[in-house]
Amino acid sequence: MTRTGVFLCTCDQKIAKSIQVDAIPYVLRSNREVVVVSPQEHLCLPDGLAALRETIARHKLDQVVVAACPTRFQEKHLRAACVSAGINENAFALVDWREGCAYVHRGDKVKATGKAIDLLQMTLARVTSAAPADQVTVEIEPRVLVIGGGIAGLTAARAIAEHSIAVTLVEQDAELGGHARHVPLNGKAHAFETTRADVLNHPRIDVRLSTRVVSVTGSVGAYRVELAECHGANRASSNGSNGAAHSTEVVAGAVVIAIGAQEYRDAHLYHHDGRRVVTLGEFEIQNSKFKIQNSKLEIQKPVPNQHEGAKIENGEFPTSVVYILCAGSRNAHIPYCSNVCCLGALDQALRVKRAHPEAQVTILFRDLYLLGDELNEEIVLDARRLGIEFLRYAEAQPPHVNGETVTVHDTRTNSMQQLHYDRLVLATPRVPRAEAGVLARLFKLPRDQFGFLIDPHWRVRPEQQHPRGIFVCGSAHQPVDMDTATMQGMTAAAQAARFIHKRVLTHPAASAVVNPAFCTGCAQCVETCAFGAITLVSRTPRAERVGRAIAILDRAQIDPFLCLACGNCVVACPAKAIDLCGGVPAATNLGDAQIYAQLDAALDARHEGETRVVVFGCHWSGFAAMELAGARRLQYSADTRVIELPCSARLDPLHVLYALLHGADEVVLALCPPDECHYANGNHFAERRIENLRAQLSAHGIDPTRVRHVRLMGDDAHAWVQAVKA
Amino acid sequence: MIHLTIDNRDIEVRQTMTVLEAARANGISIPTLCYHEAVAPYAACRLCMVEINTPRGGKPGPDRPGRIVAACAQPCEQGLTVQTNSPRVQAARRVTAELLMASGEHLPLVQAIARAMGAEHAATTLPPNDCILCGLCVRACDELVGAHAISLVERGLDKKIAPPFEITSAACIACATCVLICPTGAIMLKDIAPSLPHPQPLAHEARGDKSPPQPLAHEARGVKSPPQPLSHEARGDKSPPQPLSHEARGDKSPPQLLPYEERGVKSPPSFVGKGAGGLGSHDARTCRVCGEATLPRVFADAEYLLNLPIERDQKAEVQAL
Repeated sequence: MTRTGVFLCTCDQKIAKSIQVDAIPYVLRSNREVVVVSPQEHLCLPDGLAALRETIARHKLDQVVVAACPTRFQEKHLRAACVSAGINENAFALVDWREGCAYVHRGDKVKATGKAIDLLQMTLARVTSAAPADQVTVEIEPRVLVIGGGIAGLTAARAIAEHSIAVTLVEQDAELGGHARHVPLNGKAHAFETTRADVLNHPRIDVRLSTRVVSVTGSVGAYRVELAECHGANRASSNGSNGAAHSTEVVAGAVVIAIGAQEYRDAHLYHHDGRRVVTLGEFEIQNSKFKIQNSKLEIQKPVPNQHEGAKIENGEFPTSVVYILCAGSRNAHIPYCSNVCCLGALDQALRVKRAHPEAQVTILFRDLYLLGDELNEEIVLDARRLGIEFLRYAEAQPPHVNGETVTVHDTRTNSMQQLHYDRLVLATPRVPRAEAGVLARLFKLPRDQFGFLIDPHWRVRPEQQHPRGIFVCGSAHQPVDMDTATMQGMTAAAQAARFIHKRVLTHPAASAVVNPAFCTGCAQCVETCAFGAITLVSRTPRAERVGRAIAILDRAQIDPFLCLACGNCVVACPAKAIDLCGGVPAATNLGDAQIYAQLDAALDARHEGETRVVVFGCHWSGFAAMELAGARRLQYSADTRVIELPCSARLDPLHVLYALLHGADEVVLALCPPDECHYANGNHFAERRIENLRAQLSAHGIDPTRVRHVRLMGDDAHAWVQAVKA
Repeated sequence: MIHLTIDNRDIEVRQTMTVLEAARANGISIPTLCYHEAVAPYAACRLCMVEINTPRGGKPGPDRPGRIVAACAQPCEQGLTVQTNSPRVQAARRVTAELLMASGEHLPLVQAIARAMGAEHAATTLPPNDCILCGLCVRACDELVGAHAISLVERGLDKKIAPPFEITSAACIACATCVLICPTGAIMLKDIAPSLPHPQPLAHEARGDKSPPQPLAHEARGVKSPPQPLSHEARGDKSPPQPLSHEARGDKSPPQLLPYEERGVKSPPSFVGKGAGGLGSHDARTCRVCGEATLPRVFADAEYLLNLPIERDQKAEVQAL
């Protein structure tokens, strides 16, 4: 049996104005677990904290319940005081009886005292009905896997290796360098070549060329990544030429994803054919036949061209080159600006014009985005000095291309222009690589609506969100130029090194846990989890599965480092095999047993004729609004009993039925408005469950209006008062 | 334990306590505004002023007035004499209340303080503002939440509470602690927290959701990271940037690029719209990748660049011939 202590902070007699504090110890002492009930004048002052620690030591307490002000204010300090006195972090609970009761029920001291007792009994029931969970510790493997050998990847790999950490660099091409291999680097070539040579020669960097990531197992701290040599590339060197890819496994503590982006190519875009109508990158490859180098006026006779996509008539350089900027971007399909194409096109046009001053170069643009400092504006003036023409077109009137000419409405002179072209160069946007989707699935990373990878960032407290050791940099998450890619590579390297140097990850035991005895492997939870924390694993070892046609009854497994403890899967599980340990409300267990215990405590002490409104409040909206209503001293009925949930999706319809069965007159769920859920879309789930439940209730002859849900924001105290009144 | 005297009462307290805590622990009330038990003292509002005499300064008397200090930040000291309600203290608090009234006369909290301090008229008149700059929200966000989503920005009369760049911040987790701690109700989540800061999860289609969540507005995608402020030296560039070499090219009149303000453009590309006042406007977004606030995209002033008179590069034309 646990020894629980209850501390009542009277907050300088503010509580006593509406609650009969003297009566409470007598009631609570009837609980068997409660060893001591100790009223304190100021628990938050140094004297109060000292008394708290002293009482814990004197009575050898192992669980503490404190009634004080809102959790958002004092929970951190009081929990720290209890932990320093030897209490398990999860065996502490704070009841907000100031903003949650005393301030809002000023008129009726009897009812307010009754509610205060119920609040304390509910918290006691919750705390004592569960053993506090222990912390999970994971060792971090001291190796970083860098995926992608472009600018960002090379920079990151070198920087990490210089932190004395082993690095495996995976590149799917047969050569390092990425996009930077194909463009003149304007004075950055030396730095680039140095980085590339450093990476190739570094003793701590294991470079795997022509290699791809095939599968990822393992978890935070030790990802087991299977690498395989790609087909097609580097075939000469591989001995097994018959497609039997050689695969190896790398165990890495951290992963840097720097796979970059690729040029958008679309045959419908201005009749793009790769010959006369080309993209910037294709034209760069064509140009390389003409040896156009940066700022050098060396004109060489073009070599006869064997390249399939680069047919040059008569071996002459095209006499008129037309660039179309924003080709295929900043429209309904690809609305973003790719940062690099304006400058890339201008730079290429300048090089072309310098090498072939006789060529007619025209640039059709919508807007000019000159990433970088203001000096980049000079490039426009340079282009004009060399005689490059600029025509501005509007989004509504894009250039019209036929076989020989481009027709465009120039908004600067308000005239139609018809241009002959030998080469039409499209500055197309950067789009995510196909590999982004694969890596997103393997590493459970979110992607934005365009398919770029995103560093996972959820709107929860910093201590709830755990570093996973996966860092995205460079164009993999949005198109960037070389300088930014270098900088992001350095940043990712610093983050990865800091992560590796932690050596050990400690996870406060706040996560959902699967009971394998009940799990049927139906995968409902896998589909429910917004964070990719749940996977299905086989019960039978791999060796035993060989030769068996059906693998029976897989079971779900939850990664505690990915789980944010919202509780959605607990409700979704049809077999009730999942329970919630820890979570936002006071970080104590909030499994089904704890919720039922709270409902019992809330409804048992009800006198005949009294009404009870049970309110389930989402920590971020409903509960926050309740605390705010207290701070604003708004008054509402003392018949409400509030149960805090980490997310509205934690509310099981069975909880509602239980409450109705045990005497609740009304059940209200206070949840976040759409698009405001802190756990991606828990409120969608909750609303649909409540609506289904109402339909079921009315089908069985129970008044469905007894179950309501209210959308409100955490800063909307009046909405809370309306919610519990109606 | 040390002894000190507050309002002629001998009091025994722990050495680590402040004068305000010592007074509260012994039932002596001192008015406060920017003080909160859960966050570190800040001594910004100057409402908790008390008059103290240290034992080193001798016995207090008419010829030996005490120092006026903020009780919330003043540590206790053996033999300290504190007066919480002397005429000088009252005068100091009255001035504070009059200054608070300058921009907050419409606030019930300020009115109550003014009544209690006997302040009748505002010291000066400023535009009405709900925020009294007590800094409680900033300290709560830093110390209690750890999100560091808001801070005090600007200086002097322009000082205000805002997320970085005065645009909604993805660092904000919308926990409403700042709203809860604000004594005047001046701060609202919509000013700080962007709606839906995180992308929708991968498994969305897998769940077969009928009503897919709203994608981010298109404009949000158009906002990218701010122009990189790295200097050329910092990038490790050996060669100076190309465009500097006007003289080297022998241009007769190298055109000077004017600052935006002097170009006479009607709507110069400005960073953040400052029109909304208070807690910043919302036309800029946060970077959905790094979570940091980013400046809105500034397209180059193309018309200006293309209309600027320049001299054609003679060499290039000669070569063309």
